[in-house]
Amino acid sequence: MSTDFYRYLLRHGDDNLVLSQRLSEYISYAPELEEDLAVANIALDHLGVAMHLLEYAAGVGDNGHSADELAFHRSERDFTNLLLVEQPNADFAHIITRQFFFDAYQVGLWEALIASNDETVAGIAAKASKEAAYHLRHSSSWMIRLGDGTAESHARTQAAIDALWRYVGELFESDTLDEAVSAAGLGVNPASLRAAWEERVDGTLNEATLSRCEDDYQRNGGRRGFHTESLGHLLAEMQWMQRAYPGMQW
Amino acid sequence: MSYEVPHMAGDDEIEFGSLPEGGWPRWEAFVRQRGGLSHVYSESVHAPDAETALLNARDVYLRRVEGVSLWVVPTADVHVWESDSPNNDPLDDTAAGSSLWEIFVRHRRGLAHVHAGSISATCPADAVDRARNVYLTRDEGVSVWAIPASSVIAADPAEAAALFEPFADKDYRYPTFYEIPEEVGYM
Repeated sequence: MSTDFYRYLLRHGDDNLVLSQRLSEYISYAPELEEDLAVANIALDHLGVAMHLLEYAAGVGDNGHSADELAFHRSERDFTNLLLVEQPNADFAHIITRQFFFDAYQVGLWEALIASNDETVAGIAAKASKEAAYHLRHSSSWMIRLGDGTAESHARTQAAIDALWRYVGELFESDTLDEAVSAAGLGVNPASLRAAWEERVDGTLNEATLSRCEDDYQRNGGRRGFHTESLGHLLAEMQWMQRAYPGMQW
Repeated sequence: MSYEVPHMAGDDEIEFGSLPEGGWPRWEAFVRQRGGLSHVYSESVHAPDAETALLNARDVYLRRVEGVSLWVVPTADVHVWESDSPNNDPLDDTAAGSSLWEIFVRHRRGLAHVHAGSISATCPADAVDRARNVYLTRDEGVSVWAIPASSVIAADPAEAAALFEPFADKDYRYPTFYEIPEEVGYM
């Protein structure tokens, strides 16, 4: 069980770490200074959660890898984040849509994990759920503004939904690891989060005059380390300093 | 392994809209800190609407203070009077029905405007006159802002956990969290 639990913590730690890096890439490019600060804040929230989860994983894993090593010395195939969070910042609509799908997922995830019988996970979830509630409020209000805004903002946001929809199914896929961890009361089975996610997402899309993608083709593989091309580029930038100067501090 | 190229809407597929001249409108933000008695002026933010103004003000002004309540007001709804300005813009004195106004007073130059209280008045000129009578009788202020209470957008107290609490445990938001290397000297 402890190997499963370790990998479970890594999965969710990786989700937050990779998304945090993606959002950080956008800093100084947002349409307004205030939005730049908002994106930086959200990136920091995800980084904080990633830090807690990877530090805890480092303890549970007990394989001699510190949280920093987990973040900076693993390669692409060892990362088990969802494909959604590694998708590039193609435009502001992509950034907001990716965030919206993920926030609507994390709100349910943390809510469920508060009931974990592992105290540390429950504690991290309690803290993260407040942040996720704010993130979802931020991204939903942007979805509505962009979708129900100008013809251009509507077209771009619908294009982002259509481009990212194929990564949504993976959020709710469960494998034997998820089943074992949730059976032990430590984690939650992702499949159980889907109905509430759809309700949250449909409500906002409706108000935003946007629609789900009609093509239901789905990709997966992130949880097994099979990623889209984007992750390698992201890691190259995130990891190069620790790879070039192992253990350096500043 | 195959991979996806992100789909970007091409210029030929979309009809370009236009942004308002000069970007988003301005909003003034007021924060009540933990243990504070009143809302105090923070500064302004740009935002397309009230909801974004609240979120932006939260991100910009609550990072370094521990807030428990947040108000935003469209800058256009702030009516200003200053004690030493001979050129105060004449305030609108078209009397409408009596309504509630929130009054902010700057007690000395260099201090922020602080919420002094609420009064009833019929127009901006009336609100400022009454505010000066009530709050500045002993010259204890250099500037008055009168804001229709209906223009104040307050953060929902039910959402305080999501708005205010996440900042509490993030001490890296403060400059004192970072050690300055000796070589840098005084900054």
